[in-house]
Amino acid sequence: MKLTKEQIQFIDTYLENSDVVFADIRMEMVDHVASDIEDRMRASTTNDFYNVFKAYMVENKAQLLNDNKQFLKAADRKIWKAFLKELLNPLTLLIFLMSFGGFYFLYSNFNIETFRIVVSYVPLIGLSGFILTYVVYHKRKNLKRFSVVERLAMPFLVFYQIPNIIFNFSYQAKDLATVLWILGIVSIVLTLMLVLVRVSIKLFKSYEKQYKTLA
Amino acid sequence: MSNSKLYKGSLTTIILKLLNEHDKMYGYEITQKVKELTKGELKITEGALYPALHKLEAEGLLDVEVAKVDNRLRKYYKLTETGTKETVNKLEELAEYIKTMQALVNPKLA
Repeated sequence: MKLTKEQIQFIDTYLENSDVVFADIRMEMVDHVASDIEDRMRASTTNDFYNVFKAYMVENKAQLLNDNKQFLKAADRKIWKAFLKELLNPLTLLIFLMSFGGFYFLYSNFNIETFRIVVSYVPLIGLSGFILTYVVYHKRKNLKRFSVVERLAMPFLVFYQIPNIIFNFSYQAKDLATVLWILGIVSIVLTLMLVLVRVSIKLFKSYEKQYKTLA
Repeated sequence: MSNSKLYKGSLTTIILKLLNEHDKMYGYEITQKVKELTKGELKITEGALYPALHKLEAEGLLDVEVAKVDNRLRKYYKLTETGTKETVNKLEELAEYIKTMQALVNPKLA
């Protein structure tokens, strides 16, 4: 016995209302719950979906909600894995060298104030990249909320804060050695943020490929 | 997972072995296959299975494929090339472990 589209939708809505908000996590849970309910209905004499569903949830709801937390941990692991893989890409070194060269050019050819102004925009460059990617895929391409994509906001926020600290530190920059350290750190942070933007685009694309045609 | 903690360390190997024998499988199917093969002795809960599947996916040992089946989306897992190689290693490790345990528990049979 197979569940109808309405019964599947019922399970999906129930899980969504139980705080399983991400579509990718819910999709796998819905399939698991529906398969189990179908087996139970096949094994018993009853065809009453709602009673079988209720019995299933009494037995398994706590476990399902705990699974949701495990899924989110797995999403975090996936992000860091993708991030580390992208860091090893030769393009990352190129981005770093270009950033460093660009900042050094600024420092050498303009005054320290101009350099500080540019540094103050570094966090915004990375954050805008993520927001733009999110808006394009989530709003314009109408993709659902996916766990891995939304969990990316956390590393972005962490990297966002580092240039702010450096920006304050840049007021103490008097000798070349200190300036070079600041240049290096700002370039690293900008590189990390741009790598994260690349990772988020790749993750969005993979979700789009996997789910959009099927949704 | 199951009634015994002894099985816990072998969950990854069990998943890899099953996927090695089937082209692709989905989560619930894996739990039912294990239950069937062990005659109900080993029951894998979703709380143990899905984190293990996602970990293997993140490690690049599994690939996923989403298909629309019976009015819903289903996520299938299959072995990658690295996953196939790792299955061989894991099975060898497990065989070695069983042999060692056999020697300890029942030296006559070892």
